[in-house]
Amino acid sequence: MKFRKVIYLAVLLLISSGLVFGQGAVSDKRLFTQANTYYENGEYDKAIAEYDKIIASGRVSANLYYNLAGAYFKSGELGEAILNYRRALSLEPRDADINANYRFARAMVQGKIPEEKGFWSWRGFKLYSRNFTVNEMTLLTAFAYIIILIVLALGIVLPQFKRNSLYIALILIFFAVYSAMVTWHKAKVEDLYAVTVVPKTEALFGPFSTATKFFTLHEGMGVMVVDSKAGWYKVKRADGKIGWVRKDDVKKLHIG
Amino acid sequence: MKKFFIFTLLGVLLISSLALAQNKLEASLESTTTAIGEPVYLYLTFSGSSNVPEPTIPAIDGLKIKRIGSSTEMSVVNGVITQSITYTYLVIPGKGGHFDIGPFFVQYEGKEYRAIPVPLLVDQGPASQTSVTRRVPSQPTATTAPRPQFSGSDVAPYRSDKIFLTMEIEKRTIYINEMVPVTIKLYVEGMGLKDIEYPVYSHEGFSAGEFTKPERKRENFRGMRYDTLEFRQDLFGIKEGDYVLGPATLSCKMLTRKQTSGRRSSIFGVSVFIDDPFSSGFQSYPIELESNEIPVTILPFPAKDKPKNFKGAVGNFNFDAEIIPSEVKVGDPITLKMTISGYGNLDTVTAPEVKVSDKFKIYEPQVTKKGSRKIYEQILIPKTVEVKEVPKVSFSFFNPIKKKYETDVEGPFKINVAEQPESSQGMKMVTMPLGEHVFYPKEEIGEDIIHIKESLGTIYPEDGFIGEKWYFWFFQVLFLLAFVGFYFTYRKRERIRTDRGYARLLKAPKRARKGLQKAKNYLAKNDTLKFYDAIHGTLEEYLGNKFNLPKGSVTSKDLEKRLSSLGCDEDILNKLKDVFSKCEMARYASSISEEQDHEKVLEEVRKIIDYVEKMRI
Repeated sequence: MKFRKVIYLAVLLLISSGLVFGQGAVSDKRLFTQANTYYENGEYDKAIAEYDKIIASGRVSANLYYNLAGAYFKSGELGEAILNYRRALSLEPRDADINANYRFARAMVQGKIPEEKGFWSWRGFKLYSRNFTVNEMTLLTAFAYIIILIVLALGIVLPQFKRNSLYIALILIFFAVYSAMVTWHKAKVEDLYAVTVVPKTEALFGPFSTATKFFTLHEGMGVMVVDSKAGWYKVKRADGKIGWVRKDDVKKLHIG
Repeated sequence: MKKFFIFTLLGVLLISSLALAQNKLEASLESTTTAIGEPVYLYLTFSGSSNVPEPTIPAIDGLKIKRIGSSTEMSVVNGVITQSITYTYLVIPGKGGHFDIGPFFVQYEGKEYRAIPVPLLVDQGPASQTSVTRRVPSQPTATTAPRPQFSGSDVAPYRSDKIFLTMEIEKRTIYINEMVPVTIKLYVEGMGLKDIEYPVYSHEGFSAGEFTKPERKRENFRGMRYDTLEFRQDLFGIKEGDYVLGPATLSCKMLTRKQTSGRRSSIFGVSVFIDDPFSSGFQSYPIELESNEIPVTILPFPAKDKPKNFKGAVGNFNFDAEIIPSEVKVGDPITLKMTISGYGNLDTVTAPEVKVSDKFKIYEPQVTKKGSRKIYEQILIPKTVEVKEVPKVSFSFFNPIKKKYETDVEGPFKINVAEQPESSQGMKMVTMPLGEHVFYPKEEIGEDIIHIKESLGTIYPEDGFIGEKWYFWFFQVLFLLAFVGFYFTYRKRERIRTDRGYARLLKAPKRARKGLQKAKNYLAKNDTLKFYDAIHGTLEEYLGNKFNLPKGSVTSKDLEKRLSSLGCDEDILNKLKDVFSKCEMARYASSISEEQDHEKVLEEVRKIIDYVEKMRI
């Protein structure tokens, strides 16, 4: 009798949560359509406000960020546009439209800074990193790990498969380690990446307004936030230069 | 036997015939008259043997005698066998006068043979125009023609009247770029030639085209019939001035019949230009023929009346032009086809200039050359409907026959240009009528971001990375533990399967528990005999499994000894002895079986098993 009550309660909870979620999804779609209408009418500020409402609800999508980025772009806010295209790419990195618009917007950034050449700029890492989300890469790594265990188990059970299982396991271990490294790096970058959202800002040698100017960041330029201090971010530019900027001048990719 | 006589007779006849053949040395000349530098052949023939050394040739002032080769011959005439060898020499006169060449001597089988001298008359001037009688039996008597004299050409010196080379040019005064054909002709009478090469000659001031394929002909020349080989080539004057063409030289091999002392066949009737390299009946001698020289003057273009669009074309040309099609839409191509044909140097012909307004888009013309025609195809694309005609085109050239400039004009050509239909505007691919080239009109490409998406797409909860979730790592660890568990379980099972002792050791307590339960049941039923049987069997099986002893070979003494060696407690050993003893007694003397003892025995067995379980076996 008791067990039956628990079952009833669980089903009720599921249905109610489903209804709540469904209601949320309907609301999101309505807001999204409304925002698109504003966009097509050229009312970009209103469109941005509607897209932001969906984001505030805690549910996001690549298309949502993409449209939001478009609205920012049209309203002349290049930094916000690039930031939201990056956010869209972090959810769906293989989407051709997002990639095209991101490249287009990036091309408009003033003051091109050559990227540092290093371990993570290797083509193999870049290719893998660009085409998969962090979650996809995490799952791929986990999947490789499970397959390694299965292959090893098969090697134990089937003596004739023992040698081959070792080879396959070695290859998979290599892939899993490689994948784990790239995943870790990408997760770190997405966590620390920020975009300049003001037309121009100066990076200083210290976190105070009277500090000496070190270098300039133009709108849309990406930086890595390596530290923070009351109202200031310590940022690293693509060429390796590190300086302090006001928190309001750059916006982090990772929300939260 | 009969055959032997026949062969012997034939042999005697052959030897006697050879002996009968008369040995003699004869000398003869190809011709008794010649001119300075004109060589004649000298033949020294020894009849009667072919194994005769070369006769001695006397040195004669004014004559150079050069050995060419030797040939042998054997013939049977009316049963008489004749063998001979002929040595051939080339006699090249260095000065004029009368010469007696010889006498000639040869030593053969201890005897000296002598040939009488042969006379040679060498003219001081050009080659003899008098008739010549040949003394060489193999050469027929022939009357030589007088040395040919050409108008506009000079026969090169030092050439036989039987074989010579001439060079002719159509005009001796030409204009720059004018084409003029040159003919080099090889005349041969009564001689065989092979390996004839193309003539070569100096042609400074001219560019030369390719030789045409040589033509063989027969030609009467000053009463003589010659075989001729004609080489033709077009020359183009490239630089004004006075020049000398030639002399042309031609290399070939002259063939003569191998000399025989007997009957000799005539060379006539055999093609003079022998292509067969295996013409074994002939001897070949390399010779080089030289033609006359020709002075030529190249004139510049006259400055008077020179058209502005004249670009150096020289010849007698016709100019035609047409447009295809005459009705087009804006952006469609029109082909202006311009054909220049006629006689002259087509290499100097360049594309006629097409002057059109900026209402046309114009491309580089395509040129094709077909025989004596040169065709230019000019693509014009009207940009607007305002275009009504393609302007006239003109071609100017210098006519060397008329010695004046000429200009041919074609057009203007009326055209009808219509608007493009609405649907085909924008980027348009235009294909030329030639089917080879594609033009893409310049297109304005806009730049902007791609339009927004209509659907919201896949919704993700904004809750960070999956790698930060506890359940992700929980499952990772779970999989690892499952694998480790699987590994050890599998190993144990494999050991049980493969190691019988280990399997018995593991199953011993379980089996013992069952046995004790069984004994207890018998005790409850008060069946003491079966109880002690069960106790004995259980203990025996348990310890047998523990020590992996075969069934039936387990004795109480052996077990005590094994347990003792493992350091088993004395009390346990005593208990074991006591249990086994009680079992024996119960099985064979049931008088001792009292209820109190049974429970005690059962308890002692349990204690023994518990103790042994704790031991490390």
